[in-house]
Amino acid sequence: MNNRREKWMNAGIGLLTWVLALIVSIPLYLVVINTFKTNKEIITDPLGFPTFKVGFDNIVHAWEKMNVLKAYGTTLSIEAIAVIGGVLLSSFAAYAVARFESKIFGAMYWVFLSGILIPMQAAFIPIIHNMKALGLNNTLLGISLVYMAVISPFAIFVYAGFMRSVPRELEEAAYIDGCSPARTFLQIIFPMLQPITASLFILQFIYVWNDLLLPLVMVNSRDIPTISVSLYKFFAGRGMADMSLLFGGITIVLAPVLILFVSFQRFFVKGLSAGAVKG
Amino acid sequence: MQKKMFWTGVAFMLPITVVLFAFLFLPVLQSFYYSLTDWKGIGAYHWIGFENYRNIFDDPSFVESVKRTLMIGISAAILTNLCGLAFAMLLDRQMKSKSLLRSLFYLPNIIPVVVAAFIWRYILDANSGMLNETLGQLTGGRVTIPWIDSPDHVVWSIIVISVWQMMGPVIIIYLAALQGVSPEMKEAAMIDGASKPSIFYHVTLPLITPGITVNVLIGLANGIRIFDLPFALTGGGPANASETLAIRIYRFAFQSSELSYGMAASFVLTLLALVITFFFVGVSRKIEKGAHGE
Repeated sequence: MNNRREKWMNAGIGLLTWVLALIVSIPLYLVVINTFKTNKEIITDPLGFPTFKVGFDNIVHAWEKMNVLKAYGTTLSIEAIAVIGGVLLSSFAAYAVARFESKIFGAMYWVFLSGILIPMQAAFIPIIHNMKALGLNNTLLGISLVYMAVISPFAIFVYAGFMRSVPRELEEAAYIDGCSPARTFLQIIFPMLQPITASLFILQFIYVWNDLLLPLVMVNSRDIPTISVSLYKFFAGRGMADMSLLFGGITIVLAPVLILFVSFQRFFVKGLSAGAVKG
Repeated sequence: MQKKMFWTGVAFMLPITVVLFAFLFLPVLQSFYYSLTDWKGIGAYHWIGFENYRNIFDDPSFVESVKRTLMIGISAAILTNLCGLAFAMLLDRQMKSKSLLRSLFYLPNIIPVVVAAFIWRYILDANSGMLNETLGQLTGGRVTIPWIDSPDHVVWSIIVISVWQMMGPVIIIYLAALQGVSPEMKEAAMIDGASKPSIFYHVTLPLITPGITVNVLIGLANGIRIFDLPFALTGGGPANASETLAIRIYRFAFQSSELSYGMAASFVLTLLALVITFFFVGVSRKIEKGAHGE
C-alpha cells in the first residue's frame, strides 16, 4: 500500500520536474525552430514546427553579414590568454593562501575574496589610462589581462576552499622525502585539483565568451571584434525587423557554446559540485 | 626552512597578485582618488573633496537607480536560491533522465546574455510577443501586457529573466550539497517521529548551509553588478525604469564628460557590494559554526 503510494508520488514528481524543465527550455526551443522558418512564418506561427522551406539559408545569410570568423578568432585568443593563464595562476595563489602559514597569506585571502565583489565599472577609467601608459590599450593582451584580474578572485576562492578540505598528510610525506614545495604542488596537489580546474575553465570560458561590458568599453570593436559586441551591434542595428536573419545569427553564436557544454558536461558538473560546496 | 617556505609562498602568489593589483585593486583606488576631484578625463583638475558624493545623493535619479539595483540584486538572489533549492530537491532522487534534466536547467546559463536578451525581447514584446499571443489564445481575447515596455513591469521581467539565467549553477551546487546529507540521519530523525518539514529544517538545511553561502554570494555579486541583461534588453528604458547603477556608471563614464562624478557613483557601487557581501559572509559563517556545534 505504502509502496504503491510512493511509486505514484515519484512518478508525479518526475512529471513535474519534466514540465518545469520544458518551460525553462522554451527560449532555446524557439531558437531551434525559428532558425528554419521564413520571416513570415516566425511572426505568424512562432511556436509551431518549421516547414523547413528555407533550409539553412538563415544561418548562411547571417554568416555572410556578420564577419563571424574574425569575431571567433578574436574571442578565442582572449580566452586562451585570460582563462588558461588566470586559472593556472589562481591555483598557485590559492596554494599559498590555503597552505603556507603566515599572517600575510591569511590576509591576502580576504583581499582576493573582496575582488569577487568589486564591480569592474569602478575601475574602468583608471584601467584605460594605465593601459595607455603601458602601451597595452586596444590590444588583445591588454583586455586579456583585465579578464584575468576579473576571473582570478573567484578561482582562488574555489581552489582555496577545496585545498583546505584536503588532508595534509600526502604533502607532508612528500616534504619529508625531500620534495620542494613547488614540486609537491605540481606533482601531488595540482593533479588532485583536476575536476575543479575543468569546471573553472568551462565556467570562465563561458563568462568571457558571453561578456559584453568589458569589450564594449576596453577595446575598439573594429580592431578587436569580440563575439558579444559584434552580435550586439548586429542586432541593435537591425532591431526586430528581419527575424529570420536574427535567429540565424543567434544559432551561429550559440552552437559552439552548446557543443562545448554538451561535450564537457560530465566534468563540469563534477568539478562545480566538488569545488563550490567545500569552498 | 620557515623563511624559505615563506618566500616560496610569496612566489606562488606573486604573478596573479601583480595582475590583480595592476588591473583591479589599484584602479579602484585611483578611481576613488579622482572621485574627490573635478577631473573631466583630460586636462588639469582640482581637489573638491566630497562634493561629487554630496551631488549624487542629491540627485533623485541616482538614488532611484541605487534602489532599483538593490531591489533587482536582492530579489534575484533570493528567488534564484528558492527556485534552485526546490529544483535541486526535485532532482535529488533516483531518476533515469537526471543528467538530461540537469542539462536543460543549466542551458540558460550558457546562452550569451546578448542572445538571451534578444530572444526574451521577442517573447515579451507587447504587441507581437509570443507570451501575449499565447495568453490571448488561452483567454480568447487580445492580450497586450507591456512586459518590458512599461516602467512598472520591466524590473520584474528583468528579475524573472535573471532567475532563469542564474539557476543552473545554483541547482548543481545545491544538488552536490544535498548529496552530502546522509540518508541515515534522515532515517534516524524519521524513526524519532520527526515530520518531513521538520527533518528538512533541522537536518537538511543546517548541512547544506555552505552551499547556500556560495549561492547567495554569487547571486548577490552578479545581481548588484547587473549590466548586460538590461542593457541589451531595453537599453535601460523605458524612461530609465531599468537603468541599473552599472548602466548609469557606464553612461557617466563613456557618454558624458562628468568623469569624476561617475567615479563617485562607481565607488558607491563598490562599497555597496562589499558591505552587503561581507555582512552576508559573516552571518553565514556564524550560522555554519552554530550548525556544527562549535
